Amino acid sequence: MSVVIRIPLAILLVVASFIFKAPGWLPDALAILGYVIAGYDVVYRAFRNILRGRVFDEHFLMSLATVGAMVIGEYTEAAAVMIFYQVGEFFQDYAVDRSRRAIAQAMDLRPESARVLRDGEELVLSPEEVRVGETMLLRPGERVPLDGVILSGLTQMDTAALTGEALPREAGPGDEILSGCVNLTGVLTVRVSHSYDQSTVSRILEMVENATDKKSRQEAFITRFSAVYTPVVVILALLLAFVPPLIIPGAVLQDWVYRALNFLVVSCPCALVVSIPLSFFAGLGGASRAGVLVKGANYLEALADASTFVFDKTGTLTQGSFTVEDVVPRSITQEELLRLAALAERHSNHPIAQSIRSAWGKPLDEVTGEVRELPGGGVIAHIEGRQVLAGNARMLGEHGVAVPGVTSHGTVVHLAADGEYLGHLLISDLVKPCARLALEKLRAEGIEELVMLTGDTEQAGRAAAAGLAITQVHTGLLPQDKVAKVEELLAREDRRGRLVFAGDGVNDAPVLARADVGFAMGALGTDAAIEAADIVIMNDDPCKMAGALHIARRTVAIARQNAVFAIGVKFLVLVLSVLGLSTLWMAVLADVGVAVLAILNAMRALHVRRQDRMCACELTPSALAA
Amino acid sequence: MTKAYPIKGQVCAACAARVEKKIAALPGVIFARVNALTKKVTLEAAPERFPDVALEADRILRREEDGASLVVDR
Repeated sequence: MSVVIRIPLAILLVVASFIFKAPGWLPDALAILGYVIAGYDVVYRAFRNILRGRVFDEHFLMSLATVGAMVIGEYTEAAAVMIFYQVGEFFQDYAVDRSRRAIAQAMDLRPESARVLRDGEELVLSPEEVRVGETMLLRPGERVPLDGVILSGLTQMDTAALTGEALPREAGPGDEILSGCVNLTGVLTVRVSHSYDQSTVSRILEMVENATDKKSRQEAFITRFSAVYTPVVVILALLLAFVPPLIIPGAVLQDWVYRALNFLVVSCPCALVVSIPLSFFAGLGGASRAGVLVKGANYLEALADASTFVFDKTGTLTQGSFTVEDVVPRSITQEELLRLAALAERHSNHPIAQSIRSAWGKPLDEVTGEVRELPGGGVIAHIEGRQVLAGNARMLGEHGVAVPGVTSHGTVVHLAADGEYLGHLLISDLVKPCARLALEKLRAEGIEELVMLTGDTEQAGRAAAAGLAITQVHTGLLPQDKVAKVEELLAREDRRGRLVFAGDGVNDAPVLARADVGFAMGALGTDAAIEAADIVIMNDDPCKMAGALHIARRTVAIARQNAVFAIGVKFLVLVLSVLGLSTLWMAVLADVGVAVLAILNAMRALHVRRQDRMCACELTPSALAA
Repeated sequence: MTKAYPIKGQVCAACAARVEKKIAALPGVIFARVNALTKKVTLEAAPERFPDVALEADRILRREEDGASLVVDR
């Protein structure tokens, strides 16, 4: 019979036991009947669990407490307590279920249907039925159900659900769009690139769900604590029931047994066991909505404890792609110098060559003769009858061209034609606009050490660090040197908190693994780094790191509040019980009330502050100019 | 092959750990995970062991936790 029917019935019986006083045995009988109806399943489960070897579970404790109450003649109270307990359990289950669903819903951004063009017919299907390669149609205002590539149509995309970004992104033919985003303005036809299970949103959901398996230290502590707590309280209850009556003159057994029963009721640590994991689950969910994917509750906990942040320069604090910053000719025009450079670098795949070509921007139709690429040096090309050299100072020197000294923080590409020096191009890796603000935020949160590691030259490193709140710069590092540096920082005697590393390239994978917490920048980062990292920032915005730090600290604080509250209240009731100041009603209420409050508190971890979800630089573009 | 099954009913956190151990001990199970928060059981085993291994896991769950069961399509 369902609890919803039994409890009101039991309540009726208990009330009746107060009303009908005759015959003399009637009130007690009504109370006992009420008790049985309310609690038979609890007692039954207690027995079954003992047979399975589980003795000290909450069913046994409640059974013992209430049966004990009846033994000392408190039939009504036993029934009332059992009713209270069942009502409490019902509400607790309800609250947990509601919370779980709210968290899951907050993260689930998958639409129920997809519009597909199949064999010339427009069908509405469930996203699971859509196959890779099929054509999907999207109207303005619809959420994207599957990952794909735009075939036609121009639109603005709201990526807030994945990246937490406020500004919409423009997308057109050839651009990739991800599931979970909202198509704002245009009508699109899209070629589906991944199946439902493999779509970005599904993978994110799976990652967050699996993240709850990696228990934080707090959760592990709770598990150990509750395994010890319950047996200890039961033993204390037994002692409390029988020892004082023996040694204290004038003590009444019944009185002390009653106090001991109070103990038993409070001995179940359910509030703790339920609310702590729920706090972390909510924190993980909240973080994912802010565009920060945390792969384990333990990483969230570790991040909250961070004191040192180590950054890889290229791709993390800088754009990661080269840009032509300056064109300095000797005797010809800037345009001419750039044109020759672009022609010379026409066929090279080197990122520097690409930056030169994109700086030129215009088509390169002129015929070029033989082009030879010298690794580590540059290129030699025959253009319009002349032999053009484009490369570093060493290479030009080797070919007999005198190169003027140029000090810069970037890469310098010198040009010469037929032995005559023409000028140089300055190419550098620009610092991300948000990097300065991000580091300031970290500083404000109390991070003491902000370290930059790079394989670049000292000038490049120092130039990038200028204007950023960096405390240490280490340059010229090979991948293995970076690992060694991190080991060195980890081994420092005066280090108090955790070490966090943020990177994006393939050669960052070993360092990511070595750090206490590894951040990877999602969009630009390589798959290897994302796999090796503990936390992935979906849109590679460094400001998100400060946001993630705040979320982590808040979640850990909420979990701690719940732990302290739950343990504190239980301890208080235990003390009151010993002093004889507590009734069974109070004890049950304390137990259930604490549980529900803790669950509600845990849900707070789901809400993420605006400034943690979105970068300030997105909201006020003028800040970039500062 | 890895498959995940939703749990119907309530599972307490401690029970989840216990059930997980028992399911992992079933013959042919390479990996088992019971998540009380997301109410999902994940099983990894050889393809031919499905759906039997899931049904066995369901039996274990029902035995250990009254009111809880696995949703398995046969």
